[in-house]
Amino acid sequence: MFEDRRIRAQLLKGTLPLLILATLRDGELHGYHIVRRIRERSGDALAPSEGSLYPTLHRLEAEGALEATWRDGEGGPRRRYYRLTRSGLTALESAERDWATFAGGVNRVAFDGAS
Amino acid sequence: MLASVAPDKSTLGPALDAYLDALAAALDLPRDEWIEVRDEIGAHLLDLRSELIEAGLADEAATKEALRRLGPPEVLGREMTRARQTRRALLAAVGGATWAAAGAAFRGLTLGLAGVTVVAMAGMLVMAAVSRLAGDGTWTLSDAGWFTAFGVAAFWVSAWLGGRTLVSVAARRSHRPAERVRPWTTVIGGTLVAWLALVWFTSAQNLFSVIALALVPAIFIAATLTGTDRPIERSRHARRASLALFATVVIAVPLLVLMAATPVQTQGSSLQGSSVVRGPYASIQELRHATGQDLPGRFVPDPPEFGNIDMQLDHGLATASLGGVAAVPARWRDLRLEAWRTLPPGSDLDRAYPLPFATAPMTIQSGRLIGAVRVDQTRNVSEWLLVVTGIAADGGRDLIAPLGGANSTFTGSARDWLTAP
Repeated sequence: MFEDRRIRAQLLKGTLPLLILATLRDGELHGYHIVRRIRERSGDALAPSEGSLYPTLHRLEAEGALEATWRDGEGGPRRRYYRLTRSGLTALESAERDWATFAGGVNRVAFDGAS
Repeated sequence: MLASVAPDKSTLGPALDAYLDALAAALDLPRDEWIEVRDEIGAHLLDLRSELIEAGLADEAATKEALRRLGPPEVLGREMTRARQTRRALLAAVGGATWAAAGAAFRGLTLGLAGVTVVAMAGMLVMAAVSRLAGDGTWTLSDAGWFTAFGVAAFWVSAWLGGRTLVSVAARRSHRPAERVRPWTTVIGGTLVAWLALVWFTSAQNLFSVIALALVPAIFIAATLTGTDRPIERSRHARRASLALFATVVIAVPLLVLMAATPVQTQGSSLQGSSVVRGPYASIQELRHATGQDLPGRFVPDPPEFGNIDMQLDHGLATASLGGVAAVPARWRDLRLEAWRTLPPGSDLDRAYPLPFATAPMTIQSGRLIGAVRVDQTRNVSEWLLVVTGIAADGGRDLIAPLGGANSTFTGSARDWLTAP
């Protein structure tokens, strides 16, 4: 059981940049909303750890895939909103292709081979 | 850059504050950046805790759960630091900081030159006023090293602004605190600035100009050691002062050029800085009289009658060309052009120096005796006299002909001055 959780966490960590980029395709969001959006879209199947989310967001920003802007919150603290850059969109398209190839390969080995 | 608006601490509570403080301590980032990270994570914790409370958890349990999801602050801080300090950021920092520092140094140089010009104009006005009040006096500054010493003040401004900008931009672009970039910027930048100021920069030098130049890398190092990772912003007052300086210079420079181009009526022969003008002396007796008769060597009682003597001083190289030298090779060998220190005014030899400060061989080409000697590579030489000497048949060196003298200042880098004879 513990091993399952670890594998799941590793899988999620490896796909986190793709999930973040894909989530931001529709518009800018701050970190907390990105986590919620991923969880909602995956039907609670994916729940990225906040501890991994922020380093990944900042790494993507440092690589030029994301841009960040501070906005004052409504009655609350200011929040940092992230949006895709042109380079980020290219990276997303590339990551989607890679994932489709990878997932297709895994599916063929895991399921077609079994049947 | 936005000012930090930290989440209201009264709504965060001691547990969240302690977490954020531990996170900030683990971040190895410039101050503005760790404030941003702290704010971002703080806002996230508030949102997450609210969500958990809405889901039915008690306040304390919600706080604990929110903190658990973010993980240990030391780990998060280390990961956030690593995420920002990429190789790409480091390369961008090297290029960006170099460019920004060069730009700041140029602006500093312009500002410094403007300031120096304004001070120089004020000084000239004071001198003119004093001259007028004290009588018909004149002011001369025969040692051009003073001009260098004064002008180098502009480099100080340049070095200060360049050093501060280098640290600030290098830190922010590489996402490292100022303490991390200071050693590199100080050593690499300081070495470069020292080389530029002490080796590359060539000008008229004296002891004070060398000290002024040595202060340039010292000021740069002081700027890098005190530089911060905050952006350098010029206040409105600083911008206005810069503008006023530039306006003054724009008005002053054409006036100075006009003044420099206006002919000045002088008594006696006019002086031209680039050519040897005094002499040649008509006879050895005249030279003896002028020099106090203490020039070492033997005076020739029957010196040859030279034809026209041409002497020039061009960028520190004094050349002499003497015609009518047919009889010279028969009487002397090892002909030499010698430069001797003299004391202003006039041309009395400086008795403190029993030897010429520069010598060069002379050769006969196309019937003329030609030689050239550098007079701007010896320290503490301003006035000097050129003479031609040669070794007679009995082995003694004769003073064959006195030529003339002028003034010049040591020219070269500060290092040249320090290593010169």
